[in-house]
Amino acid sequence: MLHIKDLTAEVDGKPILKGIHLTVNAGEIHAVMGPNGSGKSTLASILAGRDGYEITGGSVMYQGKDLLDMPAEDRARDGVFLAFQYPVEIPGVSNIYLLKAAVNARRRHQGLQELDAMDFLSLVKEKVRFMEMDEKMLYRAVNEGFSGGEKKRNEILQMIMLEPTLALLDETDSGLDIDALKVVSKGVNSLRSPNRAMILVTHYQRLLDYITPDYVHVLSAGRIIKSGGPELALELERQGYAWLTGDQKDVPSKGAVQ
Amino acid sequence: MSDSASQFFADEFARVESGLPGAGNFKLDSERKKALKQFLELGLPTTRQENWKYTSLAALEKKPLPLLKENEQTDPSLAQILELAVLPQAEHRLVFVDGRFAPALSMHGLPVGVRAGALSSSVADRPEDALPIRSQHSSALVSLGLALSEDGLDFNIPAGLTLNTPVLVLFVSASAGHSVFPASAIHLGEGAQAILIEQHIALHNEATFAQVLTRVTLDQDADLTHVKLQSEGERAIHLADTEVEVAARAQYHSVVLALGGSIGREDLRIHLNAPGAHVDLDGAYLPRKRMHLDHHTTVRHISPDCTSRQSYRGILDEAGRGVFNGRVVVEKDAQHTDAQQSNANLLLSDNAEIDTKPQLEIFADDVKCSHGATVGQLDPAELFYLRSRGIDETAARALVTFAFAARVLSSLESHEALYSGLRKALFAHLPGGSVLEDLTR
Repeated sequence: MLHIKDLTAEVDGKPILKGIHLTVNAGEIHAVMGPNGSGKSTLASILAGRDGYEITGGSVMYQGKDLLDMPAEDRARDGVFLAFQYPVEIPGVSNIYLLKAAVNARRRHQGLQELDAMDFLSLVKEKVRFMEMDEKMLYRAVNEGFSGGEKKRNEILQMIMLEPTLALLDETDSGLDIDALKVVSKGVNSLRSPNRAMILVTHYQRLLDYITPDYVHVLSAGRIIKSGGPELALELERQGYAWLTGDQKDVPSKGAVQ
Repeated sequence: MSDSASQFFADEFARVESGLPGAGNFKLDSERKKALKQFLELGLPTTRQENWKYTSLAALEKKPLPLLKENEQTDPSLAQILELAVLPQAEHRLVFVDGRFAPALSMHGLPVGVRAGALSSSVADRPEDALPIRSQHSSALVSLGLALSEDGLDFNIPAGLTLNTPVLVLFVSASAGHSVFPASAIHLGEGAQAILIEQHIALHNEATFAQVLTRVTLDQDADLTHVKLQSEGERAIHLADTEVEVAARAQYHSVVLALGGSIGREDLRIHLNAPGAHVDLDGAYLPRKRMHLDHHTTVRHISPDCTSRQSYRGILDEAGRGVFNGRVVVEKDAQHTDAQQSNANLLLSDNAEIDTKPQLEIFADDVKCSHGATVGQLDPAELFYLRSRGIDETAARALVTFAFAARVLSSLESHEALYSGLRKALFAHLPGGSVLEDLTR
């Protein structure tokens, strides 16, 4: 589904990604782990189409198409979804409006009929209940005044409404208490499917207690320096990143939450 | 100092004088003459005056436009007018065509005791209420308006009465190339409540000049929501001067949307005269092309224990230019004043410009006052967030821009038909706004 070949990218002339190779097939969940500043959020942002990165080399093919050539909105309509590390507040635009606009943009692209108001409302209410959220948040401005946990739930709500083909979750576990983490994981797990792939970008193993990945990759200084199965994440939790990167600063304190 | 325009309007006055409402009443005639004299002494404002520093009336000075002659009156159809109205389904509708009341296009089923109609027809009964007699000739333009006004709205709600449905007042420009001077008097008796929607529209795109005077008096505990939608034609000069007297515990809520004209200027002066008086001023100006929209507000806290809130927002596109000057005066005795003001601006183009100036003048010592002005651009983070959800760039820009402007309408959300009419007016004016129409609620 996704083939990343020798991807290099810079921000303001500073190289961040220095040759990423990664292949993700339908049905797989990949965890991309790494210390702060290793480039993992940059990778997620570039895949979603955020501006401000200079792609200096390599290629990204998604379902046979050159992903880097597509504007962000086309990627979204084609099934790429980014759950933001820091969801953006948009004063004056209600959540339900955004959800409806997003769902219908994707449906139009897929050649499906737009949902009528009643069908949409019953669908969104069902998903809101599933994410254990208050219906009132649908009528509030997007993320405005939401707590960190509410914002992350809202990201996952959008994701399960949009049913993406490739989901990118950028530090979705950061800032969550254990109850919110469980709900968010429930949402993510509900989307596991043979037709869908996910990339979880995370600093900590914690999320992976609830969402078991098929593959774990360690990103350091813009390169994947080690890949393995779920056991690699446990090894990182025990030993920190230092044994791979040779940097003592990256040893996490026990149970640290970012 | 100014010759062409001053002489021109003096000649116009001589031509129409004997046909003005109430002409022949000695007091009224002499007040009109006094007003004209004051205008001739002062002349049209120029950019050398502080209050007009950013807004030039050179175009008007160079090419003043005549008042309409009797035989030039046109008769627009109701359908033509309602197509442009913000609340076409309004139960109470008062229409003025080229500055004169048009009874055939108006209708209202307002309760007994309410006066809603033409000021020109009540002037015979109560000449002492005529605006040239009641009002201060405070500036050149006000004086000009008082001298030349042919008609205007007479709106009077008796004490204790609440109007449950909004009253729509349409000022329609049907004939190109003319000046109009509508002057209106609005009065709400003790405890009365009303919603008044004043809309200025044009059935053509040619040059016009309007000098609009409005005098509002709210008795104690009265509550008026006054929505003004200025959607004049592209070559219109629209200058408005509104003065509001607010008595104890009375509330005046103003929502001004400036969407039209080549030059638009709103002078809004509020006098908070007794304890508990409250004013909310919300406004948005959206100049584009080469439009110039100027808002000058003055809130005068005369009495202690009054509150004022002001929120003005500008969206400036293409070579559009905006001016906001918000003055708050807290007089010596006005202790426990609570005054807030904010002005936020969104610049959508490199050629757009905003001049914003908050002005606080505080002469009391126990007060709470705040003000702030911001100028910014569309937030790329917000745009990317929307695009990452499949919303194309044009729609994302329109959505964020609309949301920015719509905040000044938020207090009207419960009036669904009105809110949706105003929203539509915004959509029609915003770049890419049409794509939003089917998406919003």
